[in-house]
Amino acid sequence: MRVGILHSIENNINEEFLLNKIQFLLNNKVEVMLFLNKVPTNFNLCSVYSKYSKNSNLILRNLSSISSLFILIINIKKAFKLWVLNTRDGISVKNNILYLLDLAYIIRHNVDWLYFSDSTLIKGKENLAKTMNAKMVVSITASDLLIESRKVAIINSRILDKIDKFHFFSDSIESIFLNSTELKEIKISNTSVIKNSLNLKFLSNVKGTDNLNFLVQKKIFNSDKLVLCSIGSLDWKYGFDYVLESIALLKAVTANFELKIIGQGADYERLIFTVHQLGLDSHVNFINEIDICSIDYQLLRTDIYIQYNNLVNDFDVNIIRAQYLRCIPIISSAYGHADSILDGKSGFIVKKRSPNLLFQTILKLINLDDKSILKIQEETRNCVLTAFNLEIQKKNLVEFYSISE
Amino acid sequence: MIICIYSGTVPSTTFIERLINGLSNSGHKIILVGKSYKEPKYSGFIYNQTYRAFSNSDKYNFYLYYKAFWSWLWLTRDNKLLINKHLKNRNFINKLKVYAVAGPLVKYNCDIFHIQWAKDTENWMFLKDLGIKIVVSLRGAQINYSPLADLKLAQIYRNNFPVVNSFHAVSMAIKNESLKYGADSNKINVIYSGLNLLDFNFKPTFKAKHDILRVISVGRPHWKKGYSLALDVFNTLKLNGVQFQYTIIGGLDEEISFQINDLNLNNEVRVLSKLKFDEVKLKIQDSDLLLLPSFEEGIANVVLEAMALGTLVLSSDCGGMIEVLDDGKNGFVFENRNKLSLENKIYEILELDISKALELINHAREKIEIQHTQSKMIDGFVNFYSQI
Repeated sequence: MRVGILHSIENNINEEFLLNKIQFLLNNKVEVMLFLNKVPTNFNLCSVYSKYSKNSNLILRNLSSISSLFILIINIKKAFKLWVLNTRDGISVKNNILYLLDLAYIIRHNVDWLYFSDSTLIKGKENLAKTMNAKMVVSITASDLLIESRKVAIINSRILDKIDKFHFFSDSIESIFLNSTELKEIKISNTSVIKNSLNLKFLSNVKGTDNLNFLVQKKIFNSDKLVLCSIGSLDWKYGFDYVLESIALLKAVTANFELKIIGQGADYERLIFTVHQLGLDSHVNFINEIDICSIDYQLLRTDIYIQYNNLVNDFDVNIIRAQYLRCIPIISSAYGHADSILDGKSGFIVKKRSPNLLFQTILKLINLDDKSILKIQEETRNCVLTAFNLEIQKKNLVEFYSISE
Repeated sequence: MIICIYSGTVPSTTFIERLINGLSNSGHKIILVGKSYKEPKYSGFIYNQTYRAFSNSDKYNFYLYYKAFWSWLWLTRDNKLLINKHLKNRNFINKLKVYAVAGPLVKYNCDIFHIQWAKDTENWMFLKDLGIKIVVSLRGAQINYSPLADLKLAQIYRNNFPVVNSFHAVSMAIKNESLKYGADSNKINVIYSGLNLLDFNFKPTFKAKHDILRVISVGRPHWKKGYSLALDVFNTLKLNGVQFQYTIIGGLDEEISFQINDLNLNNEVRVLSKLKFDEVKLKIQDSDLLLLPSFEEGIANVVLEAMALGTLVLSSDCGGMIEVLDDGKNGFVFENRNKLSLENKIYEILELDISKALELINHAREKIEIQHTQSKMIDGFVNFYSQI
């Protein structure tokens, strides 16, 4: 069996779900092809195909278009099929030509499943799977359903009819999807939930320490300084503005803390300025490293993990990693994380967009006695070990792709 | 005196367009440089060195090649040697742009090269060797936060600011901020934005207590405009039973759109895309309050415009806003990024008597007439240029 995965990257592949999935498929003798927008560095799990990016120089872009043309001529049957299907969908001649040239590097391959890791990748590729005689699978995220412009793009019958399987990262997102008013008239049964899971293999690669030993010895809270950490793409969806507001309130109570914000994104300038205006320059550190080992390294040195999203980010494995590494999680009441956090037992859930409540929760945690903290740490760790086990993900993937083990 | 105004795009911001028109209408010769998306129309003598943008990439901008070629012909051998010395490490397109600009500057004996966006300063410092004086405008994000996030940019400022001939600052606040990067305080002139008051018909507007408060904000959908903070506050007000109608003119982005839905404010908040200036003026005059929830501004033009039109203003105290607004005397000011402060000010405004509101509105117009007229702004610039 062959599985083609369409994925978009900034610089490199960091998504743990994807890496686990590829590894699992390869272990089960499934051939995996990764179709990317860019060539990643240091990635050799499976074969990678990418078109020259738009930023490449003029000569490379022209050469790329010429080679695409040759590929289309060699695969004329598939190219014609895609042309006809696109024309039926009302795509203009100009766009049809551009799409064909754009997709030539994928069309030439044969796959049984074509998996879109993000619904925004579908645009212009609606008929690609059918052209390749493959089944089309799409991961639907919370953003796809809760942000109006994305929702319009995904929930329209023209696209829905073409998708063979819908994948969700949590039950709550599946439920939002199935209960969408737009879908009430359409019967959709081909949905599956495969949650993220924790791959402990990565932990042993964290540089600089004997990590498992370090973990056992990890103190209740850092005695010299309270360390808070928040991870995510630096954009409004992650609610960093609110976190910083609450940290500004915390500063009035204690100056002995540090907040690490790990991630990259468009709002870096915004957050740096917020930190500056709130007088938090000496308390907040931005960490640009986003590979899994560096994240683990930071989480091992974190007391409280904050994920204060404005909307669901259901595929974020960082909370799970943080919980495993004995950080006490505080999350927003936005959907998606309830599976791993029971409020007050294995972490804390705070009403979203309420920096004052977030501050109160941090304060409450600081004032807890060691015994209570240890209890929450153990509870949170056990919770992820049972609910987000890699074996569960493997079992779900076997069912999803109908793989015989 | 020949002045070159170097702007990123043509037409540019309201302030820069007022400067160009004001200077050319008062008989000054202007060379205008920037990328234009449509043929600019100005009266007076303006050598138009703009180049059309045909595509996203200047590589295919043949008009630029054409302008650079003619410009190259105008330069003497010595000029070219000097320019080439400065262009050693630049890419081809960057070199073309420099050539396209340098030619007319030399041909028309330009005296002053006025860079509107400080980020570009380093590119043009070599003009000093051609005997042209460099003036840099200090405005908004380019000084207030870009160098905080981009340490390379901060270093560029530190390298170049000490040798710039003179600076124009849009507010005292930004003047103080620029000192961090080595600008000489004595070389910085604060010249405030000015309005042509003939275009702003004063019509005081404020409705009685206990009516639905009509609030308006005008500005592009950008995080620094603070709409997310305003929406959080309006959510609290709604939960507390306050009746209001909040209009944002300038368009919608993903964040604001989601927040309006998320907070269930669809009935109270409406967002209009860009409108013509006359329509914006009518909308402002049709409101009880103009709200500026910004985190960062030089001095927001829209506040000056609302004050000139007769609409009460509530603004954050960011940037230079307190240089025009005096809390409780000609408008209201809340503490930047402080939701509670904004909320309390709105309650104060809800309790305001009409007579008190009209008094504030009248004082606001007086402030504009004293400090923010176009003639004052242009006189300020003419005086500024002549002293360099």
